[in-house]
Amino acid sequence: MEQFKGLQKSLYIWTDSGELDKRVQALKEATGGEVAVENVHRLSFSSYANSSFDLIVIECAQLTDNYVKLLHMLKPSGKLHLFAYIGPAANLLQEIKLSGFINCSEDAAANTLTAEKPGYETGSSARLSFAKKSPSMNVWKISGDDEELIDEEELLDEEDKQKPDPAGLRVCSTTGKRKACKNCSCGLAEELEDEKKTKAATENAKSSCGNCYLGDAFRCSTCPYLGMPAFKPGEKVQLADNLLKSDI
Amino acid sequence: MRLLVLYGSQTGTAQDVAEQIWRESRQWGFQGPVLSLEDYDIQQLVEERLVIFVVATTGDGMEPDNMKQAWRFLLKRSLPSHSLSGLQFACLGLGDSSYSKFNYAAKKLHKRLLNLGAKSICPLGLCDDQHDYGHLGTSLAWTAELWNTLSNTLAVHKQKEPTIVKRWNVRVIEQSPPLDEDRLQWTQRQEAHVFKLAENTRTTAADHFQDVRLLRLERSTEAISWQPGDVLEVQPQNSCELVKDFFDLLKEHQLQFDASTVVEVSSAHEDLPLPLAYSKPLSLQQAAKYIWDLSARPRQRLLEVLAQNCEDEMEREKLLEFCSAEGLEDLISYVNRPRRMLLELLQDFRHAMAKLTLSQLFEMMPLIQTRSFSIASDQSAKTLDLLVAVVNYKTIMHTPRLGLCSNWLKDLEVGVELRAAIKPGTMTWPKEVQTPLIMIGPGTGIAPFRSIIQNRLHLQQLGQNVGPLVVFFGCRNRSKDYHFVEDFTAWQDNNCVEVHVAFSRDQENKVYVQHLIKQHGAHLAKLIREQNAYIYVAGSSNNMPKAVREAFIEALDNDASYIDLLIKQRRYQEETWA
Repeated sequence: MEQFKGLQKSLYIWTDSGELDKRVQALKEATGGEVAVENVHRLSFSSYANSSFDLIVIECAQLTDNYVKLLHMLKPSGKLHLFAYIGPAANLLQEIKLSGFINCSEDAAANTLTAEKPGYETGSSARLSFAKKSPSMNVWKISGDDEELIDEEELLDEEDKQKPDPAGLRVCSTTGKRKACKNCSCGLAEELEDEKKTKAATENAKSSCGNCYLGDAFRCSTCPYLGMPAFKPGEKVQLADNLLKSDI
Repeated sequence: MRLLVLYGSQTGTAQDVAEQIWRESRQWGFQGPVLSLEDYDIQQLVEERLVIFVVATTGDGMEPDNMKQAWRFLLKRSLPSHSLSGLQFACLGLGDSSYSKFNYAAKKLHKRLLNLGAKSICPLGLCDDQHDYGHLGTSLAWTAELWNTLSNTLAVHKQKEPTIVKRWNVRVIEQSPPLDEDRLQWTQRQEAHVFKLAENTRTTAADHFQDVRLLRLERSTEAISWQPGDVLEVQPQNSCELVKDFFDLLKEHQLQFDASTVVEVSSAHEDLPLPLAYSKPLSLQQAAKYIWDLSARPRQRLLEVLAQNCEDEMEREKLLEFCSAEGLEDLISYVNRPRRMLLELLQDFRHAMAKLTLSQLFEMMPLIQTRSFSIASDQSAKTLDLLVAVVNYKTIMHTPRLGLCSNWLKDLEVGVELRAAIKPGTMTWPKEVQTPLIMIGPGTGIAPFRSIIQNRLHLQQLGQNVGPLVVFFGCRNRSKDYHFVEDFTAWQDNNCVEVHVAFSRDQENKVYVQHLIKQHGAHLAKLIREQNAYIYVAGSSNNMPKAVREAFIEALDNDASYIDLLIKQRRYQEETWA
C-alpha cells in the first residue's frame, strides 16, 4: 500500500473482525495519516459528510450499489482501494465505473482494484439506469392480487401464543413516592427534607395543604374535593350534602 | 438519515404512539415521515433501510383495517426470503391480554419481516391494555431502549434543546367562503351509506339500571346489502353540552379565537398526509362538534403541547411530569382511573389554558374515532337494526361518565339522516345451511345472532333445508332487560329455533348461560360430534367467554383438546368486546 503514503484521512471498511487492529495499524503506517474504521454492514446507516476522506479501503468487497455513496465520501481525486474482493473483477470494475469513478485498474496478482474520484466535486451524481437491479427487488414491484399467500397462522409457534403473566401487569399505587407540591405549605417538603437528612420517619401528618383549589392534579389523595374541577377565582365551593355523610 | 415510522391503528392509540416515536426521532436527527400502512406504498419497503412499526391488534387477533392491504401483500408467497436483507426494523405491538389472541398482528408481522430477511434491532415490544399503566407500561421503556440501541449502533446523538415538532400549520381565514358542514359528519376514507333513522326505542324497563337502545335504520337505496355478522361503523358527534362547555372555557380565558373562527389547516411536512377532516376550511364550532373528541381520555401528547406556552411554573412542571416515566403513576391516577375527560383536564389547568394558541389547540386535539356495532337484522328484513347499550357509569368524578357514541345515538331523533359504513365482522358461517348453529349471546351479544337467525329463517321460507338453530340468551330479569322478547317468543312458538334464556336475577341463585349449556350438555355434544355444529359466542369480554368455554368442555367429556381443535377449525368462534 506504499502508493497511498501521505494521504491524511482514510476510512477502513471491514468485514472480518479477526485481527482487525493489525490491518488498520498497517494502513496507518502505510499512509502516515488518520484511519477511521467502519463495518461494511453499517455503511448504509452511516452518515459521513461528503468529501471526508482521501482514501477508502474495503476488504472482501462485493457487488453492491453503495459505490456512489463512497464516491461522495471521498475528496476530489480521492482513492478507492478494494482487496480480497469477492466475485469477478470485471463486474466490480463495471459497477465502480458506472458509479462515477475513473482510472479504474486491476492488479490481478495482488487481487486488488484501485479507482479514483474525478478531480472535481461531483455534485449530484445519478446512477446510470442500465446498472442492473437485483431480481428480488423486481418481485416486490409486480402488482396483482391473485397471488398465493402463505398461511399466516403458521408464522406463530406455541411460544408466541402465550399471554403475559397477569401478576406482571399490576403496579402498586400505594408504593408511589410521596412527593411535595412545588409551593408546599403543608410541611411535607420539610418533612421529606428531614427524612432525607435523618432517614427517620416522622409522625406529624399535616392537613390543609392549601392546594385543593388547583384541581385533582395537585390535590392530596384524601382531599374531599377529589373529582371536582379546579376552582375558578372567587368561586364559592360547597361539597354536596351527600359527600359529608359517612359511607358506612 | 431516513427513519420511517409505519403504523396500523384501529382506535388511534397506535397512531398516537407512532407519532410520538416520530417526534422523538427528529430530536435524534432522523428524517422521514410517520404514515399509516394504508398511506404507504408497501412495495417500497424493499428499498427502506430503517423502519419502526407500531401495530395494534383488534378483535379476534386481527390486524387493524388500515393495515389489511399491506399485510396481504407481505404474505405473498412469491416474495423472496432474503429480499428485505437491507432492512433493519423494530416492531411495537399494542394489544389486550383479556383477548385470547394477544398481540397477534404484531407478532405475525415481526415473524414475517424476519422471514423476508429483515434484521430486528430491538426485541418485539408487546404493550398490554390490561397493564395498570395501559400501553404506556411497556411503550415508554421500549421506546427509550430503541433510541439507546440506535445511538449505539448508528452513533446518532440527541439534541440538547428540545425542538417543537408540529404536524399542522393553521391559518385563520378572515373572510370565509360558505362552509360545507355535511361533509364533516363522515370524515373517513371508506365511503358511507346514508340511512334514515326509523325508530329509536329503549328496550329495557324504565326502572332498569341500564338504557339499551334498539335503533332501526332505513336504507336510502335497495343496493345497500350486508351479511350476518357484519358490523356498522358510525362516526359519533359531541353533545351540545360538551361543545358549549368547551367554548365557555375559551371565552373565560379571553382567547383570541372562538366558535366562529374559521381556519385552514395544512400539513407542516410534505410527506405527512392531512386527515380528511382538515381537507377544507372549517370553523372551530364545526371542529368541536364533529372532529375533536372532547370526552376522550387525554393522552400524554396533549399534556406536552399544553405545557408549551404555559408560563405558570407549577402547572407547567406538573404537565411535563405527567409526561415522564417517573410521573406515570400520578398520570394514571389523575387521568385513567377516574376516566377523566380531555375537557375536564383543560378546565383544571387554568394558567396553561389562558396562554393557549390556535396552533397548540389543533396540535393537541385527538380526532373522534368511529365505533362499530354488530348488525342485528338480516338484509331480508326491512331495516338495519342495532342494539346499543348506553354507557353511563360513576367513578370518583362528580359527574357521570358518558360513552360518546352510545349517548349520541341515544339522543338521535327519528327521521334524521345518518352516515355509516358496513364492514365485515369476524364471524364466518358454515357453507352448508344444514349445519347446526349453536349461538351464545347474553346481553347485547345477541345482536349478530338475530341477524343470522333471520337469515336462516328467510332461506327456509325460500324452501331451503336449514339445520338446527340453538340460541342461548342471558339477562338479569325477564321483565327488565329481555331484548328482542317478541322475536324469541315467535321463534319458540313456531318451533323453528331452540331458545334457552337465563334470567340471572329472577331467582335466588344466579343462573347464567353457562349453567344452561351444562344442563343441555348431552344434546349439544351430539349436535357438535354428530352433525358438525358450529359454536358462536358474542358479548362482553369479561368472565363470560371463559365460563362458556368451560361449560362446553364439560359437555364434551372434559376434552379440552377437542375445543382447541374446534377453535382451530373455526367451528368455535368468539366475538367479544370490552
